[in-house]
Amino acid sequence: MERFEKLFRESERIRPPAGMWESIAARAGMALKAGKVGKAGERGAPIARETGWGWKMAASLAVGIGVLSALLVVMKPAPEVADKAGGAEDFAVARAAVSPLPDEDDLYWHADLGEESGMDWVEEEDALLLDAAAADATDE
Amino acid sequence: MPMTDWFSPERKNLDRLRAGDLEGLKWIFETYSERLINQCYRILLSREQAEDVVQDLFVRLPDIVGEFRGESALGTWLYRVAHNMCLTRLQQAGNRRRLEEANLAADETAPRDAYETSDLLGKALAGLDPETRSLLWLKEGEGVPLKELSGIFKLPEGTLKSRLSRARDRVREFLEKEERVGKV
Repeated sequence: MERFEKLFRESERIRPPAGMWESIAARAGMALKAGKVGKAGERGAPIARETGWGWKMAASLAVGIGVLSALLVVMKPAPEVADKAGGAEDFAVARAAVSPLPDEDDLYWHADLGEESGMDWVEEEDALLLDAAAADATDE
Repeated sequence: MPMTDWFSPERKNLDRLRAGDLEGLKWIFETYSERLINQCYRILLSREQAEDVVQDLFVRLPDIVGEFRGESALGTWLYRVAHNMCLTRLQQAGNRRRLEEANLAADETAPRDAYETSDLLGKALAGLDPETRSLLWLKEGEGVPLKELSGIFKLPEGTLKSRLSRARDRVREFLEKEERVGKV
């Protein structure tokens, strides 16, 4: 036998001293009576659940399906919104009904009319005033 | 690494312990205490301290058993807990010693360590660091397989192999030296 192996094989092995268990039982027993036991699930999950891959897989699958369902509900438009959306033509009609924009030519006509008529009115009034002033001047 | 068997006495007694039954703790003590005390003895190189750590471990076991998740064998987990408790104790002792040394200003007559190196293996292991002592003892003294050691030390098997190889070389060198001076 090699010296190295012999060293380990023939080495001194110690045993727990007599009375060790009694001492542990006395100290641990008090803790147990006081309910200070690290129950499975307090800091770690129970062995059955921790070691069961089936449970883990089932839980992951359930969560995945839940998330997908929630996404589908959020992304799918409500029926009334979809009906209102319609095509581009409908949208144009609806926009015209809500806020009709005046025709550009109409605006031009209004602008011209206003400006010309306004100027005519000013010129006529000026002529009348000049005529009146002229009449007054001649009376004097 | 073997997982905890649902129908094993190990599982049954773990459940009893979790339910607050002292008999569950007794079964675990009777099954593992000898292996744990020898592991601690080889790490701490002190019988008294090894007994102290193992006693402390079993007193605290009802409180820490919730940490055990059954992903490894109970023995593997207990080896790891014992290993960590021993390293913590050595660290605390080292801190105390450094403090004392600072206060005593390097007294040459003061003992450098408190190791009880009565047997040859103890003397051989004293030349290694505590983690390597633990590793080498579990492999050579307890016959713990490499895969399980990987779970205890949280290191890849390859790393453990090279550490073990270096440790064996150191112990062989020690033995050769002892032989030369006629002690073996």
